[in-house]
Amino acid sequence: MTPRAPRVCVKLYANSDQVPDSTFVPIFHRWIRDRLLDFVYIDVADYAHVPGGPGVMLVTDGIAFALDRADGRYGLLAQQRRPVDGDVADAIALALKQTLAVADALERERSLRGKLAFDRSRVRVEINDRLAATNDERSFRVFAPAAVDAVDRVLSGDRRAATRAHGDARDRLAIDVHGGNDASGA
Amino acid sequence: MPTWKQSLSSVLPPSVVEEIDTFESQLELRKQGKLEEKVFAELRLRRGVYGQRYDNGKRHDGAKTQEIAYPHRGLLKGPETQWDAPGMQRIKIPFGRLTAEQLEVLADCAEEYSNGVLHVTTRQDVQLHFVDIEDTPDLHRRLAAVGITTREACGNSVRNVTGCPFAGICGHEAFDISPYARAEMRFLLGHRDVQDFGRKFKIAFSGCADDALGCGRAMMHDLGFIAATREVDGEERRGFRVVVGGGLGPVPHVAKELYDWMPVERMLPASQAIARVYARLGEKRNRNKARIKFLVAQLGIDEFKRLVDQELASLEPDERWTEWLDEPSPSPEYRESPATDGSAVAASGFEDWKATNVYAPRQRGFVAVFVNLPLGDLTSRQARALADIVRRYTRDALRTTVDQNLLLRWVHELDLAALYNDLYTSRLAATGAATVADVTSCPGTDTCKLGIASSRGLGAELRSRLEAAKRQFDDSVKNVHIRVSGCPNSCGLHHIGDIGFYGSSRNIGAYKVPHFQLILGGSLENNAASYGMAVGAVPSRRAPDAVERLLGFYSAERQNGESFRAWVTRVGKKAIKERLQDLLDVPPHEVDPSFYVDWHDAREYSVGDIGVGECAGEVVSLTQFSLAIAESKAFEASILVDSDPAGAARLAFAAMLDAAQGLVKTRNADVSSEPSRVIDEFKRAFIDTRLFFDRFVGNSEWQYLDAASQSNEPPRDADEARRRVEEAQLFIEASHACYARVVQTPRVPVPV
Repeated sequence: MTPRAPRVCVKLYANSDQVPDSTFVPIFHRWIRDRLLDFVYIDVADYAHVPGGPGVMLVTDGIAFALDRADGRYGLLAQQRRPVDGDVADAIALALKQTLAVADALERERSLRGKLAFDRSRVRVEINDRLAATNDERSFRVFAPAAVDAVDRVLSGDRRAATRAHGDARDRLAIDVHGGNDASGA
Repeated sequence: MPTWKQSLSSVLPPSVVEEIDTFESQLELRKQGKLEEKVFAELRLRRGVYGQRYDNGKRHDGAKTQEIAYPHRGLLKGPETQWDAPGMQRIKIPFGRLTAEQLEVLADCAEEYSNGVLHVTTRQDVQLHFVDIEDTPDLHRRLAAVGITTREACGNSVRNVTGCPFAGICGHEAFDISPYARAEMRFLLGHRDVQDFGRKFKIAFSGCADDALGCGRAMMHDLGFIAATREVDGEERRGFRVVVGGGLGPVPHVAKELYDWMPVERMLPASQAIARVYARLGEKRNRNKARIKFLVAQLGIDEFKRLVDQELASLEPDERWTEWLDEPSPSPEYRESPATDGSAVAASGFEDWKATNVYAPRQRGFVAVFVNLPLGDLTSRQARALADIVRRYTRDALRTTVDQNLLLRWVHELDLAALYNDLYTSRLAATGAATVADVTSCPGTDTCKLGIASSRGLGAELRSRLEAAKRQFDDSVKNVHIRVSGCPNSCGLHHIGDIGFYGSSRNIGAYKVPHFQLILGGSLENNAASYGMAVGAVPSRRAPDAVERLLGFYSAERQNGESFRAWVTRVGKKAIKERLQDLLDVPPHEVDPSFYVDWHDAREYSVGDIGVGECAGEVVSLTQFSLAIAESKAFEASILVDSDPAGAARLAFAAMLDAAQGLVKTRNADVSSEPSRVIDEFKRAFIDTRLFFDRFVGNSEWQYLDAASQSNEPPRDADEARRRVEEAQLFIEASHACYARVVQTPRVPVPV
């Protein structure tokens, strides 16, 4: 049986938090109508009324995207909805590629030009499986190399480093992958 | 790496392990095509695993219907329901009581299996959306590990038992209904007499007759218990006024009084008797007429009572009816002393918040605090923050409310400012709880297959406008309650709103336009015994304007502090409608296309996404259920053959017993579960009569069960275990074939 990796989340931080949530509703609906990008689209879910919530979500089969503020910083969060084949580095790499595709598409949106850009020099990775990864140094040492490998695989540049994001011990293990000296996609 | 199944197996009671393992094996059987779609749909509904909009694989994009290319097209989890489509998990929170630990696990599950948002419903449940069905067994295990069940959260059985969130602290209550609601829930959960309903069954407990705070709502439930004391032989006794046959839905019914007073000791047998009458006589074919309210209306309450009394007299005594009465009282929910010294300086907005969100219970020195959740939603992080708050300031538990909020009880007054600061930091200090700005809304077109218009979209818009206008502080209108449903089925409780809306659609030229039917005249008084009626359909875009206008009229015209309902009655719906007439028109599409798009959507409105709802569940016979469980056990047995031959053999025998018992249920729904009695009755009803006889193989499968029942010897080895499992499979197949014959031929009573 092919091993399944734990599900992961990936986040790219935005350069500003000035775009109203409602802006994304027509954008995502249009993407679904025009089948922009290679996703099996399911729906647009509006959680803009929830403080610190996922804002407006684009739900696809396999992964969901949201302009999210949960960790106190605005950005594009991707959450894998079911496990993927391969190891955790494969899962992170896939999620990151898909997130970059969405980020690129959002940056190309005419209505968002000049208002929204994503920082590709820092990627937050969360292991969304508390059985696979506890939020502690031990799990960080296990998963950080895979996170760095995955990001290096997808984004060009020098070898990156990883630091553990400290917060509530009950949160998921979160790893910030940064550096690279090259913010472009591979 | 261990699985959740392995990690939690020692923590969970064996019966719960079996329950969830059985469900998990039913998923496998469905995937293998060995479990019928309809049967599986009802099985998963009875685990609270619900469908969501677009799970038929189609979605209207504003111009046309698109196919959603789910990976395993053709694999269904119910009629017209794609396996891979995300669904909703409903989670029961009996009478709304939630602990800090449970909140934390809900938060974890929301992050890992859903979208990080917990939703509180109008029945005190919690729902998670966009859940993959493959995740549900582990989700159920993790919840079960902290004492939460999803069993019978949906489907044709007893749903969550609701109860006043102020129970135990309310100044109006006759007594604390919490232990009684708990006992009712525990007794009926999985009870055999609630497995054969034609529709869902909802029970509510109210602490007081007038339901002064509007939280019990017994009169709108299938079965309602209203606390009351009575002097009996010089002693004050606790009891309930029992009402039955209420319900909202498209056509609301007010419950009828079944017993004006019944001592608490009779509560469980009475519930069982009512269930048996409903199971026996309730409609099962016409789903639209299958709620108990229709049975009560058809029979009349006097005849219904006669049948219940008759049933009550014939029930086999059950020690569970009263053994719970001897249980020690749960530990008090309050801290002995405040958590702080009271010196905290409150953050800004404290006075406004205190004016709307703080309630004075009957216990001096304490307060109860509402956490106002926008549209019933909170994030996983907020849930964890609340868990910390609950631990810090109270004795660990809070309550969900039927207005989709949370209630922190037993907060020392001295701690109020500090608690407010903690809520404020977590963005949980929204003002206006249970006021006009706190709009109740069902999920509607966001996720429900039956949604016609966006109830949450309208709810959010109303909330936003009313908060901006600070209406929650306006004494003249703050107690007007607004409730929005996405369709006539009233999950948003529009019938009991001062102002209610339910979603509808109108054709305007070549277009469809979302509308909301405006309902006026509802009330929470007397345990929600007064329902509003339709005034007219308002275009969705104009609904907020209609609300503002109504509030303006009421504020200006109310006399002597009359309620909104009294004002509506005095002015008259006809006159009110005339004053809203200009709002009912829809401009042409080319003049204002915004009318042709629903709230918080961008697509041209259509009704193309309405699907087949699952609220009605699937009517599956007791026998079909038993056969499905038998299949699950045989499947599990086949997995154990090499690793645990003795366990495999035990499960194989248990599977045959389930199948046999299932067949006996076609003759005697009350058949015992005791193995020797099952076999005796099966032999009499199906072997001696040759009903089980197959003209090609005779009764050979019966011999497998007969032999297994007479032998206590474990299998010698894995080969023998395998053989026993195969025999069980053959017996189950024969049982299916027998059932098919039985349902096609007229039933001949067989003495048992």
